[in-house]
Amino acid sequence: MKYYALRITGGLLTIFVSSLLVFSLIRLIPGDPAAELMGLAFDPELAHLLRIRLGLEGSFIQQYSAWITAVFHGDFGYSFINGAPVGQEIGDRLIRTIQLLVGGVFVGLAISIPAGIVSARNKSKWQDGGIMAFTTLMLSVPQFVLGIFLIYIFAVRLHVLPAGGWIDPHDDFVEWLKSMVLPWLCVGMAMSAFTSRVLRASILDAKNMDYTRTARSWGLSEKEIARKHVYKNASAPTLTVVGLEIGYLLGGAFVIENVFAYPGIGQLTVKAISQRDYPMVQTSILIFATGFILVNLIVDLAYGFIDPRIRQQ
Amino acid sequence: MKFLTLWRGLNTRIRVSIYMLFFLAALSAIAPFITPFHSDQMGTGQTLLGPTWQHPFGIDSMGRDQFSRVTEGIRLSAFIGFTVMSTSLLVGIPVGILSAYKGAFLDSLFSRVLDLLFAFPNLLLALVFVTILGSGSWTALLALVIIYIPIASRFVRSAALAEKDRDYVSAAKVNGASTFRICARHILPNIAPSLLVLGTNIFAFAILAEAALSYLGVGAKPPTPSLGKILTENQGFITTSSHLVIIPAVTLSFLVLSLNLLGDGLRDYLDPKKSSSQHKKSWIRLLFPRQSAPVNGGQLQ
Repeated sequence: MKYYALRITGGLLTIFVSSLLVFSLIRLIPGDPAAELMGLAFDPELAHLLRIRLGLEGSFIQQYSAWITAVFHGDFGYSFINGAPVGQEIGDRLIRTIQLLVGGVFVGLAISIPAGIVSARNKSKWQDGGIMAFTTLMLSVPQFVLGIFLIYIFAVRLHVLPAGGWIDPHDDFVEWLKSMVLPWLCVGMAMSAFTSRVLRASILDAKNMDYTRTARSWGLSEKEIARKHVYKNASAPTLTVVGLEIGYLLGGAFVIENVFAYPGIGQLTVKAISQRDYPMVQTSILIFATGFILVNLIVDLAYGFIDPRIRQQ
Repeated sequence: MKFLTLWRGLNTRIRVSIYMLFFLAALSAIAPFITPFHSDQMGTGQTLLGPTWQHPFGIDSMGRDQFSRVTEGIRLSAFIGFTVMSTSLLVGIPVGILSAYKGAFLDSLFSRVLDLLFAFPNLLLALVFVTILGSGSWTALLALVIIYIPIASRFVRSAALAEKDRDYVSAAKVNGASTFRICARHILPNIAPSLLVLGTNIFAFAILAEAALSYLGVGAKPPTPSLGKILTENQGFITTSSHLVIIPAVTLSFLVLSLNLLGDGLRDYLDPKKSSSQHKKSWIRLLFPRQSAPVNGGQLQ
């Protein structure tokens, strides 16, 4: 219990500090956003009002507390570019990014779990060699290059899947599914390389452990040994890596969404950065950081759940 | 003669990766002398041309010779990778070793700061820095240096932590060696092999990160021919002139693959626990590594 409480407190604390960090980093940007927004029509009186509206007046602590209070009320401010509420725009896109990542992680697990098990079972045979060669290649091909290759093969050459874009599933479910296949595959393949290597290594480790030999000497069937002793023990390190991978996928979302012209939060962030739309940048970075920390927290909690030894420390 | 013996002692992966890197280096080094076109020169007359003898990689939508652009992209990537690697190691090695060896307050302060930095995905961190500093090649480079310094320091720290309680360190201390001498003459040489691998990995990841930033449009500004930038510029023409996208994409992957192979090979070669017989493997082992240790150490990604 103490383990879980400590982890949760630590996670919340990190989220708080990172919100502080994001907030102060955005304020480090040189130049006055109000002056930049008004351009040639600069008027000191109006600029003051604008600064109040943008939450740029008062001391740093006042600004931060006003911002964080508003965030807890679901008010993330307004876009500099089109004046639309940031929360709404990001909310719509967040759902799509979550769709992308969750689907991609499932694809990744669907590739890496069988791949890891097969290559561990056939260690040093051709299956193992082929899978390891594949993972070596996958670790070297950058995510966006992988996406481009996928587009080239499936959209340009074979004409079976759309090259990008997103279709509302309420309008046409089949088309939506088709438009999601390549992004999911891109996320999944990128993730599967490292994960299947770790799974393979941890299965091989667990196979050579004393407890596996003991289980065998008890006369348990090979199936039971694999299920209860080998795979269960191999799942703990793999889970950590999956958590880490999901974290990096959050970073990779920026790139993948841009490759496939996928209207998610990563694409929005990149656009907002080039347009210097600070409320948008601030909010989406906060959301990414929170997501990243939450994923790590969940992994820590699950790790304690799987391996009771961790809880004791 | 000595060189030849050393060369034969290396494993296949190191040798092949050196061939691959040498090929890329030679290609990008001689490119300016074998093609009369400059990478920014637009007036070649045609646009979106397929590969010809005069333009082996074709011509892009703005009439620029793609061969000189891609080869200059390789040079730029190598420059970025080398700068990020050397800077992060130059700062990371002293900071990491001192933090591990001196411990106490310095170490805990250092760990807290790093924990906070690692609460953000790397690419996001780079984007934040680029937002503050303004986009461009140099700021992207600066952002990558800022990000890889803590990563290198943390790696060095954990490597040095494993060494600092060894007998040879105690022996040096008993002999009255200064802190500086222990760190520089005793700990550093003993962790140097793993630092070589770390350097190779940072080299590869910095290239990837720069390409990703340029691809997103926050790195290199046009007309700088970064490989990532070339990919963005040409992606719209993938249906009609796919060679404009595929060639830079393959080049980038080839570059990173050869660096990763070098890193893997070095780790095997420098690992004293491995028997030397394992170094004499057939070419097929190159892509079919038998060892189970995962490459790259996920933290670098």
